[in-house]
Amino acid sequence: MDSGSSKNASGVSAWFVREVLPLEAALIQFLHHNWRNASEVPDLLHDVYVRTYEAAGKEIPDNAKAFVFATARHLIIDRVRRERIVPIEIMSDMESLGIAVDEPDADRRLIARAELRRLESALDRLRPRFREAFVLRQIEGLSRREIASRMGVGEETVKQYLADGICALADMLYGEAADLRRQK
Amino acid sequence: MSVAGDNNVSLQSVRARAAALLVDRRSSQQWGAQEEAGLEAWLAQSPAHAVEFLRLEAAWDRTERLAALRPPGRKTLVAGDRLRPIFGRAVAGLAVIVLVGIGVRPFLKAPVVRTFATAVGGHKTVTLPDGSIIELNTNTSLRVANAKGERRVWLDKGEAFFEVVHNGAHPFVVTAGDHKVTDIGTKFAVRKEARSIRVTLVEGSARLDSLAGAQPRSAVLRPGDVAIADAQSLEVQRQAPDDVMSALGWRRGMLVFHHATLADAVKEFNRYNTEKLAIGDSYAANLTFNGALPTNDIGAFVRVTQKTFALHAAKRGNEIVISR
Repeated sequence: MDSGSSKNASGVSAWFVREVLPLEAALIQFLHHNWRNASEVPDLLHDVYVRTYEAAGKEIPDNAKAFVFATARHLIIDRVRRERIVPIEIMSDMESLGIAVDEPDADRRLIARAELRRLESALDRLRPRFREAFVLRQIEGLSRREIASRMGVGEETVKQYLADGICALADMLYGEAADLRRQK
Repeated sequence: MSVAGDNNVSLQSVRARAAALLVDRRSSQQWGAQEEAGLEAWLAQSPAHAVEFLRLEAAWDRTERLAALRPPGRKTLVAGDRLRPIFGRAVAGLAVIVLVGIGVRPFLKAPVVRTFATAVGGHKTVTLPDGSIIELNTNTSLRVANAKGERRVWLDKGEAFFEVVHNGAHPFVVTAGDHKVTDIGTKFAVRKEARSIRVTLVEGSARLDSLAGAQPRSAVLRPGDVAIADAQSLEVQRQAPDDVMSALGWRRGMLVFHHATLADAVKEFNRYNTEKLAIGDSYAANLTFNGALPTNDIGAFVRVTQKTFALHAAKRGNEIVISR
């Protein structure tokens, strides 16, 4: 991140959140198809993000989807070279995998409702203590101290619940295909 | 270039650090300029830090939407097994969710925090012990506390007008999200929206500190200034006194429109009424008009669109849809 261009940096950040993060589920699917070791996928994903973010700092790509998947492809090729493993013959592309990353229906009210359903389902699958902390914070609007006394734990524990909780939520919100959204 | 490289361990630790910083920034009352600078430095160290933080922050922001699930008329929500039915119901009735006063919560420790809230269409005036007055607009929730001689208000939702009795030794601080307004003897309004806040200064002066975004920003506001701050920017516009009064028309129960599009007007009316309006097509959405209408009189607004623009109104579910 270039310290001299904070305005640019915030533009890149907004672009990253708006255009790149929603591709995560499709990207994970792509990486799984093209990389034999599943346990390395989170790491690859992170590297795709880093490369994309760095490149966008110089110039924001016109087509985020095309750019992100090209970056993923290059990353895999680089790694294949570096690790001297047998190259994968043909890297399957998004289309052949049937990965859909199209924008959902334009009806914003439907989207808002689907988003809420999605959040609800993610929250539901959180570990109970994390979920409780999240509900008290984001729905009840309690402070950390209030949450701590309500849950009968220390403030540091509440912080840890929220931190672990948001990591799990981010994986669910970005890493899972938005099936709910496409329901009509 | 890439911090994670081939091992998952460093990615895990970067992510854990990003999560800890995010949670502190969003939920710690001790978060200040120094902490913000620390975060800034950490983010600038590596794009690996930046992307992990951004991703978690974006997820956190999405969960802000969950506040819409706060069930009406309940003081507490029990986490766990009972979540599902409550959520199901809340989601089903989303279009007509009415958030009502959540009451004063029992606090175990000083300082005493009092909560004030209004439902959709509500309007309430509160006088504080020091003589300062807070006027709550529709669908608003705020907390008030006296801590260490500092008078503090957290605007959790909605909009409020503040008429502060100035006391140099005890500053009056209004916090809304990542933004903080400190009075320097003043009358001002603060409106909190999903991603931004709007501060309208009527009299005196106030300082706005925005802790959101990459860099903390500040501005000193003078009468007629309208400041809009979000995660990326802080913008101050000078407005004519009439426009300032128009923006505060709600204090008299009126919505005042000046070259407003019907889309904007509908958005405003929907803040005040449980019966919702919607615009059916872009032609109707972009028509502009001037006028003043009671906040709770949807019928009057619909009649204006019918008579002035020859638009049609149709009831569809819980909504009145206005279209060509």
